[in-house]
Amino acid sequence: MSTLERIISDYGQGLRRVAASYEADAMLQEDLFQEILLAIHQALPALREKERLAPYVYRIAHNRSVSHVAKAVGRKKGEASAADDVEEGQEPSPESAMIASERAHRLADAVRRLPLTYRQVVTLYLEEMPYAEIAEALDISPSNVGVRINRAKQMLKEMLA
Amino acid sequence: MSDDDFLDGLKGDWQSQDADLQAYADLVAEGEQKLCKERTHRLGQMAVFWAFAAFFTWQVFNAGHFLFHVAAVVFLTAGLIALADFVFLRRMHGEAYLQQAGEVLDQAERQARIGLRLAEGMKAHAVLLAVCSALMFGYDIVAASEPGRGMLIGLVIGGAAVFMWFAQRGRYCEVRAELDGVRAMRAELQDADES
Repeated sequence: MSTLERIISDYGQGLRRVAASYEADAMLQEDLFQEILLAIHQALPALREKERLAPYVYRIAHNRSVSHVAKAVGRKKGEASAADDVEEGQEPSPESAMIASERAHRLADAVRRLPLTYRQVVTLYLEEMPYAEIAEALDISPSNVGVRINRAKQMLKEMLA
Repeated sequence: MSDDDFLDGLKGDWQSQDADLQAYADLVAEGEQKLCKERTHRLGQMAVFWAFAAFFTWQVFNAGHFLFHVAAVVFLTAGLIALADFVFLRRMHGEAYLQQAGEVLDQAERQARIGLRLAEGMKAHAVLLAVCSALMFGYDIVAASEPGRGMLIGLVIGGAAVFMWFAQRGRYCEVRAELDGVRAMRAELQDADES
């Protein structure tokens, strides 16, 4: 399995969700995901030298997304909902699947409304990354990660209440 | 419910947003093709400007007509702007995204500022084209041996001037918004670092 294939198999879903945390429009999410994969592909020689891949793969994803959003500011964004992009899960029953999808949609929407610095830590935390790796990915101290996560939690609580 | 329970409770909802990643290899290949096409398009545009510039400069030495001087200047300017666009506004390479977010934003700001200058340059160039078009009309009316021909060329150049001016005005607004966006995000990062 090539390094890129391994990265996609291990972090692909997480990278897709990072793209969704920056871009609400389903088609633009797809473009952003493609740009993230391309950036990772180009950075493979440097990535192979890293001991741990996750922090750097996610760092590329966030930085590429920041740069994408900066470029997107000038163009008119579509109003398509991110819910279009939520794929089918285990489908326990149509009703519970709909409720779960609705909750996921509300969460994604709330995460997108967080300020950039809080959005970055929360998306990585929700991907099960430990504080040390989040700190490495964002190049901040672990205590700073804790502070940002706390603030992000408060904001999310208010938004989802 | 503790705060950690709250966030941990969201993990399931967050991770339930999954997508089919089977076609990822095609997506990367498609992205590379897109980049290659973009590069070829920009190189082609530059080559056209330089080819015209070379042709009209050669005509200046052969025929020495003042219209050839004007055309040579117009295309040389366009060629130089296209060259600057190609060199300075290249897409950032993947490895550049391994830097800190602040450095990525610095680079994005630098590129946006260059983009603004280039859009201004292209707008000025559109004015130069309009002047060139007016000269063609004037020459056709006053001194042309074959009346009508210069007017036709002037019309084409004038149309190109109008199109370029509006296109660059749109581009200028876009890059201006991009620059503001980059600055706002950098300010957000700085505020978070200070707090």
